[in-house]
Amino acid sequence: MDGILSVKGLSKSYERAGHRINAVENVSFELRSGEILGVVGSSGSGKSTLLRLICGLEKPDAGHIYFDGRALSPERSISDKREMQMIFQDPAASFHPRRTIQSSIGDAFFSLMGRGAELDLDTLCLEVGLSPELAQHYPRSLSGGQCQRFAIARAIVSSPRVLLCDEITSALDVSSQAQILTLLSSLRKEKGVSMIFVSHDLAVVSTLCDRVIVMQSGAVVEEGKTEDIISAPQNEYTKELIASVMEI
Amino acid sequence: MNSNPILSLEGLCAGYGNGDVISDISFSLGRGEALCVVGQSGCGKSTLLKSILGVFDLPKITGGDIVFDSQRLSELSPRQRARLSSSGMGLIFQTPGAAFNPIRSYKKQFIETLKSRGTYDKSTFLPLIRDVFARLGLERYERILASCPYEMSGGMNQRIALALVMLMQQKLLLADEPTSALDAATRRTVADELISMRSDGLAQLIVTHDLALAAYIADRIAVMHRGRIVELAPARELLDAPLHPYTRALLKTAPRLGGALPTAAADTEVYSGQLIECSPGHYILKEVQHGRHTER
Amino acid sequence: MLARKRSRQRLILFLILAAALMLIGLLAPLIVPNDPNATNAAHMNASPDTEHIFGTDRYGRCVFSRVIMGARTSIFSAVILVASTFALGTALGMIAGWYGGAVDSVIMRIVDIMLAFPQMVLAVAVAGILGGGMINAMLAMGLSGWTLYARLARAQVIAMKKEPFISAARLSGCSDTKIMLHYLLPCMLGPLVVNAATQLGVMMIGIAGLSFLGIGVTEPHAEWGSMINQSRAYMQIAPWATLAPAGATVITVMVFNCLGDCLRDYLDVEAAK
Repeated sequence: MDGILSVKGLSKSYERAGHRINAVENVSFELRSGEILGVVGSSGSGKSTLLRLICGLEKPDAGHIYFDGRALSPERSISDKREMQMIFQDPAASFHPRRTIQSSIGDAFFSLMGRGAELDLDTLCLEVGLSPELAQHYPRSLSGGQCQRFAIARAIVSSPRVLLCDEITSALDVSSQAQILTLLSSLRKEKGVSMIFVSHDLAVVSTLCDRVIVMQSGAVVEEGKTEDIISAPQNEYTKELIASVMEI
Repeated sequence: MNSNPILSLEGLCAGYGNGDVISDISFSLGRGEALCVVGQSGCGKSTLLKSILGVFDLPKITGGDIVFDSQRLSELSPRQRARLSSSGMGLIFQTPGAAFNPIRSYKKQFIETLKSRGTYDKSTFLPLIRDVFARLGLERYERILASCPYEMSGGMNQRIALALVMLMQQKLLLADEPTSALDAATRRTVADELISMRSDGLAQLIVTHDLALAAYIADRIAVMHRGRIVELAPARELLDAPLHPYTRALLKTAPRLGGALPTAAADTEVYSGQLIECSPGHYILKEVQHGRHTER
Repeated sequence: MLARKRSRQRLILFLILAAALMLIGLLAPLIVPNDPNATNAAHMNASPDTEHIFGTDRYGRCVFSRVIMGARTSIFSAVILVASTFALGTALGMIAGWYGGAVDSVIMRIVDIMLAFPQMVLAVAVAGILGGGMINAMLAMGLSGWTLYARLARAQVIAMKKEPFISAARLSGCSDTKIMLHYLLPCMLGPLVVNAATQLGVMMIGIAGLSFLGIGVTEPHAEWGSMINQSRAYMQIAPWATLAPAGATVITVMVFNCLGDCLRDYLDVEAAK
């Protein structure tokens, strides 16, 4: 097995208005090293919860997460956190509203790498294609695309091996979206970062991901290579998703 | 194009006090026609919508004119203008449900809106709603009417907002990113509904950055860049044979199912010149120099 | 734009007034024209004159000097009380909201118990049991005062907990203490401070009330509530001895209440911007 991350029988349910809702139900899959795995499904299908479970922001009711063949406990150590980072949908809300981007990134860096480490902000900004001066700004004064690229910069300060992307282009316009997709693709190529890319937009997923998992109401209904899923979907729900894509 | 357009813009310029955000915008929109304005964020497409709607204080129109329903808007007093906008133009926001009070039932809000326009008629209200809801594919209209916006999903709220526009029998729908807060499947449903709304002559001006949506619903597409229209053409023609370099770049940013990784459009170039009709109905921004057209 | 300017002007006005009152309290021993505790049997219940501009009370003490010294007691006991309940309540509320579960249940049940009694009734009971004195009066008021901040802080933390920037901070390995102090606290300070400013007036009335009932600050210490209580029996003979501390209380409480309101308006306008 060359899987860097594997998930076995992961489940999580919530109590909401007196009902139990199974947000994630018995989900198992494997993320191979250097791969970008897409997760698609409509809103409420449990995609975001799945990512929050994987990175330890929430505790699963059942199931295990293995990183490099080692089971991860719900309480993650700093070294676990260094290896796995997450990026969120709302770029501006991903940063402390009353701090400059630079200070937020610095905070993440020193918390993860220790006080003595040296942060090379210029190189980091360059990697995400932004001028270091922009890092002096507050998040609200930057565009969504710029903010999201800084969020990626913060996520890679510790050179993680796995990046979890939660709808990270949905709040952006097409051009910023294209920039982010290109950036992710180059991160994979140059640093070998493996990623899970969650999105409701199958078209976006199909341009970036090697394999795709289709989720419906918390469960995985189909899994396969991107080409196969698009050209020969087996599941009814997958077919529906493909049919709903508006072609240019 | 329709000989009697519902909306025409004649060299419209508008801004927020320090320089124009949109300049020299000209087009006309016929009954039952859908025009999509596409472009990156910050290109001035939302400003364009607000200038046409004119009920917000900003932006200020600094040049050109708008003709809506054969009335020149610059000749109207602010009050007449506000009345004309509210009676003739429907507005759909990006945030689903932004048009509704979240804790009042749809029925009450519908009746209120119709009453304020003086078109409420108790005997025809329910049949009319049933009709409109049926056309939008919304089932069980009575149950929907009895519920409140906060109980509904974003997609549902957006569809009900569309129903309200139809109910008011407005002539022009202005929509600002109507689908970008929705997930892919719901997006398609709302797009289908936008198309079916046009059958009784509703004109639509839809602002979006989603090229796939524009391709799906628009009769014509206008590409905006830095406050100017750089290309305006029938949808298929613009998508298949774009002439302006920016349009080409923008089309490459759109992800296509199973396609290559999209590439970002450079935002640095500034284009100027005049909109020239280069083939019937196909306009492109060109610099005019000594009688010769040079594309920049 | 105009609304913003006006709300700022009002805020500045009341800040200056509040600062002036606090300055009077701070410099009280230097300002007072006469010794506030010096009795004068030859000058009892004397009407206002140039030497004693608010007259004298039944022991011949200068009412003006006692009002000034009373400002020190009233304002500073209220400020200390609000500051400590603010700190305690916010800390407990944040802990409850952040950790949830059993910690949350325990803290919030204590809050519920405190809220089951009207604040003043609880304070009277506690002050009565503890006996008089300024410290005891403050303890009695503070006993339930912190619950307000605790509930507010808890609600804010729960609302902000799922914000992406908090999740990002957790993933970055920031400690819980650091997230609470550096990430959550700065973002929720606004509404808490507004509450604290409004509470200044409430606490002042509370302490004055306890003193009036004789279970707060006791003689000969100058305090407005106890001054009113002492002199009300001589209302017909020497109304100034009652009216002066009463007026001082009303003005001070009003200034601090208005300060709270202006601060809220100002922050609302800023947030809407």
